[in-house]
Amino acid sequence: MSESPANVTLLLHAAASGDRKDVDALMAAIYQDLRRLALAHMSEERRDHTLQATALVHEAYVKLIDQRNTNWNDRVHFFSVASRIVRRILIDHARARNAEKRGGPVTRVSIGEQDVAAPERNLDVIALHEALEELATLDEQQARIVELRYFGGCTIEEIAELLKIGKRTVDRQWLAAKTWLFDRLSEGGVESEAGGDRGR
Amino acid sequence: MAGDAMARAHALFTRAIELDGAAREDMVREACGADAEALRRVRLLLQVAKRTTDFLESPAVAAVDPLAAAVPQAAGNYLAVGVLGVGGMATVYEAVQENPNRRVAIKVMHQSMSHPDALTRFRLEAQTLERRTWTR
Repeated sequence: MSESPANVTLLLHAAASGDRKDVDALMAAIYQDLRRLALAHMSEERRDHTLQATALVHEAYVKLIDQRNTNWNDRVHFFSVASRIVRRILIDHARARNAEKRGGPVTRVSIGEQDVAAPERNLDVIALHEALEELATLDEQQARIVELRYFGGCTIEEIAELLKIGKRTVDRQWLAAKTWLFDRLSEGGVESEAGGDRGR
Repeated sequence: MAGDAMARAHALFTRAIELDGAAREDMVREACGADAEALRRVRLLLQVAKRTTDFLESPAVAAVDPLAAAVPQAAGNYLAVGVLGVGGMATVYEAVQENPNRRVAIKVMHQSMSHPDALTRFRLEAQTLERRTWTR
């Protein structure tokens, strides 16, 4: 690990004040470590599907942070920052991959009916990222739940604990967010908002 | 649908999920009132919700290709520690080999590239690289 847990913990404390500069410093410090962890998860996942339930950011927290000097707020803060970083790592990766591909513009893969059983394999992470930004303007908490769950790998229980809301509320918000995103990313939109009057 | 209207419909939909049957229908109808567009949108989302069972249920890191491509960990105790590059045909991983202890690069072909021609080219490349090593 490139930074000592004591250092990262200090950065985390500084970032908790909400200063943009401190948050950036924290993100820079843990980006590489998180990337390594993410990669380990990706390769391990194939061998042991039970790992799907493991929160990536939880593992990062245990490895990167000095537990003796942290409080509840630090934990919540770390989980959200780390989930955001994982999101960025995957977007960076997708962009790099798209740039590598010869032959012009990015090919976007939409979700078709047939992909519902395993839609993630065909999911365009950049399109998801953009849709998630939009969702955040409608409902910030729902967008945050998606970030923690999909990018951070947190369980419903962990999110309920982090956000101090009931498990059933998380469930409901998660379903609402998923539905909205699914609709947004579906082929042409189940209802294409961007398409204006289409289908009327 | 304007942003405000969309936000309102989404909020209504979020509330509606919790209810069942007649209670749901009553709530939605009452809340939407004369707003036919909101009513249509909420009903649509309620339909879509039934189809999202598996959507986004595996964490993103488990879903990304080719990062999720199998890294030959079992063969020779390699542990992937980073991605050096991703190309159209393959991903090159930075990996650590346990014995002998050294850093190596592992090239893993994308699954879509496993047709015979690509495999032949891949083997040829490996042979060329091997020759290079020997001449040093």
